[in-house]
Amino acid sequence: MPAEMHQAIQALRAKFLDEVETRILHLEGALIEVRHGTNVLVAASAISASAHKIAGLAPTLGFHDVGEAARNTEERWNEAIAKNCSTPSLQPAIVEVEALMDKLEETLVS
Amino acid sequence: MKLLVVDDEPLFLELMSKYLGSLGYADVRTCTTAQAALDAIASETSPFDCCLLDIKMPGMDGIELCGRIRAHPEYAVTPIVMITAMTEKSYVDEAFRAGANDYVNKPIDRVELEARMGMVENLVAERVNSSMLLRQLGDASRGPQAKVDFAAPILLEEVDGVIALSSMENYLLRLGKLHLYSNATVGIHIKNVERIFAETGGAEFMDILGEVAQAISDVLHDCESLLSYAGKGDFCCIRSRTRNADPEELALQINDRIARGLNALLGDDVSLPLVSIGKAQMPRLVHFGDATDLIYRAIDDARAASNPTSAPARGTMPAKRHAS
Repeated sequence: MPAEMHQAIQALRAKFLDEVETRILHLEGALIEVRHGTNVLVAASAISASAHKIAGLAPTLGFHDVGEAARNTEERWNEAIAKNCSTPSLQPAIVEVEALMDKLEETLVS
Repeated sequence: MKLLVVDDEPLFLELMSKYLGSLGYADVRTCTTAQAALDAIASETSPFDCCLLDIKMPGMDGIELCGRIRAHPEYAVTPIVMITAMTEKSYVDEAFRAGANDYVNKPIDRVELEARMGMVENLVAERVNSSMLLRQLGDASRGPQAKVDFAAPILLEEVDGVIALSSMENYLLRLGKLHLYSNATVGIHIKNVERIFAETGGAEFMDILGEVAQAISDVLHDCESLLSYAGKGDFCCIRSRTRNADPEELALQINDRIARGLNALLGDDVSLPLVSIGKAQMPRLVHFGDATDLIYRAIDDARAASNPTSAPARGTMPAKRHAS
């Protein structure tokens, strides 16, 4: 990779890290809506969409674990949405999104 | 080259602009919504040379956007590359049917992006020639003096499910082995194509090809099929391997449909096209080699079926084009 491109990626990595908190808050808000809210399907779709964005971006910026967790999250939530967010389908989806939030938090610590 | 990139993630757009810039593409316009992209297209004085569209976006998704862009006459043949993390075959099929020429996977890999942009450059060059031909044929002088290259693949845009041959090659190359296995290719050859070309040659030859493509599409009546014209009277269709049918029976039905469509339109001095169909070419579960071979094997077989006593040696025709 040309040095100029490497520098650009580093700058984008920094921007991604600046936005990590916002992304976690967004996921947490949607998860609360899934657990206690009235429009579970809308909140589930928001989690899937958010995970999709992270899955497409994070690995290119070097956050491979985050990318993998985001991909798993998107898959599980899509499955849950396909099953109308039934309780059994939500359980594995919630586990995945919590794992994703953990991975996002780790990027801030490291 | 002037590029339009659409994705709902602003950081991803920045990343794409940097990657494309590092590959020498400095003129990049980005949009975060499909509507903004349509507005940009409407307001630009000169059209974009290529559009790169994310599939999954809130509101109008990339597949619908692709169809809307294609509906603009000046974007009928502009290369459209889908950007997607969704490698499910249904999304890929939908994107190609909506008019996409190729797709690039997320997360973005610079080497892969460079290869896809190389394909785009080839398409742009190919389509400059095609649009010159179309302008020539669409002229007031539309007639036999406007010559079509007999051997060249032609995009017959007016028929549903017809895609450019280069897009069909990309489709097969990018399907992945398991998805590839679920497909079969079927070749269709116009047996008397040389005679018809000699009798017509220009716009009328294109019209006849369009009618043959429509007949093939009607008879296969399979909304999941993709069809391309490869030049020299050769078509190739990709369909599900489960939809296997007797080639002779299919040929009878297509020839009957062609006759019904063209009998009243063609003068006495132009022959009615007659097609032959080859056996469906099925990839093996473990398919070694180039997936685009399936297109050319199917075409070879259709040609052999048109003249069973003097079947051509396999691989001798037609010349293979190569997608990146």
